[in-house]
Amino acid sequence: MAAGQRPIHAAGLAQRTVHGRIVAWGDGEPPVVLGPAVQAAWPFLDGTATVAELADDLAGAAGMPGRDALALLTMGVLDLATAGLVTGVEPLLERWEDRPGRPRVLSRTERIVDGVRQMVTELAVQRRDLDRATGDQTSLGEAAGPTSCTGRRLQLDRPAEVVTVAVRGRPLCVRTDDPELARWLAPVADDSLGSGPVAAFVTRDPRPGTGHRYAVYDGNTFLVGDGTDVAAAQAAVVACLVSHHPPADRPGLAVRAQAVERDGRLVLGPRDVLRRPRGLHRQLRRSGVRPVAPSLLIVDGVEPVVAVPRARTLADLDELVLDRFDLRGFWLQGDAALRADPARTLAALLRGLPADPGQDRQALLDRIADLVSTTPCLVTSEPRPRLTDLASTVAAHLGAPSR
Amino acid sequence: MSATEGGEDVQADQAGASTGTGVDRRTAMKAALGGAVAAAVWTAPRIEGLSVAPDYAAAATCTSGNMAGWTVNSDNSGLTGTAEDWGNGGGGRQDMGARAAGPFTINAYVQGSVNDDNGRISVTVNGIDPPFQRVVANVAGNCNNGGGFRSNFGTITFNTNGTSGEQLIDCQGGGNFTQADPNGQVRLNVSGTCL
Repeated sequence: MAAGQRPIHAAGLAQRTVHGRIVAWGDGEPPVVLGPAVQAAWPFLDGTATVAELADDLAGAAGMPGRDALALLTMGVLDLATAGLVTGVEPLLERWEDRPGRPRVLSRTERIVDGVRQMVTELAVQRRDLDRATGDQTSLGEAAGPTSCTGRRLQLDRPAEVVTVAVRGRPLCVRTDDPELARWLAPVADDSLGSGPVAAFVTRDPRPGTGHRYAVYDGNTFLVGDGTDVAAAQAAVVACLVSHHPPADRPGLAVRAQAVERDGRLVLGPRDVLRRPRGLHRQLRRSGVRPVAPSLLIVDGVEPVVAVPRARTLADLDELVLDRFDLRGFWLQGDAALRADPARTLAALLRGLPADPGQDRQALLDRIADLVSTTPCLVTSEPRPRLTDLASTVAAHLGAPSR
Repeated sequence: MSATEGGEDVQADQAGASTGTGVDRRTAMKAALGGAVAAAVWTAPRIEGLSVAPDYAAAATCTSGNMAGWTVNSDNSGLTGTAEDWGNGGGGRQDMGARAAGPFTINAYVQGSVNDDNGRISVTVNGIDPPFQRVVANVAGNCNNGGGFRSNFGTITFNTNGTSGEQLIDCQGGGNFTQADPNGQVRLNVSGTCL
C-alpha cells in the first residue's frame, strides 16, 4: 500500500544544495535535481513519516487537494527510488513495472527466419549491469551491436585482430584491422593472461588519395584520437590502455570526461560534448585546441588543476606520468533552460562525468560544484551553432585570440 | 501496472495520516515551497534528470523509428456548403491521437479554416533521449483549386521533447463570399533518427 510506506534516504547518497535547489546522486544512477514538491518533502524522508502523512502536509502547505498531493508524492517517491535516492518503499516498487533494477526495454520484435521464430528484445544497459554480467571482462564498446550506431562507429561489423597486452598485471585488448598497428603492438602482446576487455578500438577508413584516416575509441566509446597520423593513433591507443583501469594510488578525484586543451589549459566536459566529434575535432585543431586523449582525468582536490595520466611509451605501460593542466572551466551542450539553472547545469555535467565504481560521489559532487561556481561554465545551446563558431567559442574559453 | 493506488487504499491510508509532527512538517514544507501555489507544484517536474539515459546507456543503444503518415482531408463545414475546415464538422479541432514513431510518441492536431489565414497544425514530440536522437516532422499538402498549399510548418527538427506550437496551414485563393473554399489535404510525416 503506497500511502502507508515510510520512505527513507538511501545509504550513501550524495547531495548538494545549489542556488536553493537540491542535486541528489544515488549509487549507480545519474544525479538528478529535485522538483519543488519532492524537495519540500525531502528532509522528512527519514523513515518515520508515511507517504500519506507527508502528502497531507504537502496539501496543506501548497494549498492543493489531498488526493492530488498524495498522487504527486507517491510518484515522486517512486522517482526517488528509481534514482537510487530512497528505500523503504519496496512493496510499492514490486508492483511497478518500471521499478529500479529492471532493464529498460527499448523494443521487442518477433520474426520468423527459416521457419524458426526469433524474438529480439533490445535493452538499455548500464555499466554496472555489464560489469556484473561479465565480471569486468567486457568493455562497453564490445557490448554494442555490430550494426548499431555505436557498433558501426567502432567498426564492429568488420573483421579485426584483437591483441592482448598486460597493463598493471591485467589483460587489456586492442581491436584493430590495421596490420601496421598490429605489428607495432606485437612486441608487448601477451596472451598468457587470458582474455580481457577491449580498451581501444582502432577504426580505419580509406583516405582520398593515399593512406588512411584513423580513429581511436576507448572502452567506454569516447573518441580519444582522430587523424591520418599513425603515430598519433598509436599514442591514443597507449592512452586508452593506461586509462582503462584507474591507477590505484591516484591523487585527487578520478572522472571519465571529455577534455580539450590548449597551451596547458584545459576545459572539461561530459562525454557527449564532442557529439559530432570528427568535424569538431578538425575545427578545434584549427583553433589550436586538441582533445585530451585519455577519458580518465584526475581532478585535484584543492587547486583548479587536472592531471592526465600518460605512459611514456608502449613498453612502459605500468609507469604512469601525470601531465598537469590548469582547469579553465567546463563545457557542456544544453538548452537555454539548462544554462539558466545552476543546479540543472551541475546535474547535467555530472551525468556526463560518470564515476568509476568505488568513487566517492559526495566528494566528486562537492568538488565539481565548487569548481563550477568558481570557473566559467560554457553551455552551448541548441539549435546547434556552426562548428566553426563552436570551436572558436571553446578556443576563446581557453584563452585563444579570436580568429 | 499503475503506481498510484486505488481509491479504497488511499482513503484507508489517509485516515491515519495525522501525526504530532505534522504541523511542523507542514510549516517547513510551506517555507520550502516559498509560496508556490498548487498548480506550480503540480506541474513542475517531480525530478529532473530521470529522462536522460543513465550512465552509458544511450551511447550503447539508440533506436530510431518512423510514424505512419497522418493525412487529413478538409471537411465541408459551412451552412451553405461552401466553407472548408480542417476540423471535423463545422470547425473545432481534429486530433491525431498519440502515435508511435519507434520509441517516440507523436501527438498532433489540426484546426481552423482552409482559407482565411487561420488554419493551424501543432505537433508534439516526446521520448527523445537527447543528445543521441532527433525527430524531424514534415508538413505538406495540396489544394484542389489550383492554388498553392501554404505551410509555415514545413520541416521542424526536434532535438529535445517539445511542441511546435501552432503553425499556419492553408490554401491560397478562393474562399470569399462568392466563391467556395477549396478542398485541402494536409499530410504529416515524422521520422526519428539516431545521431
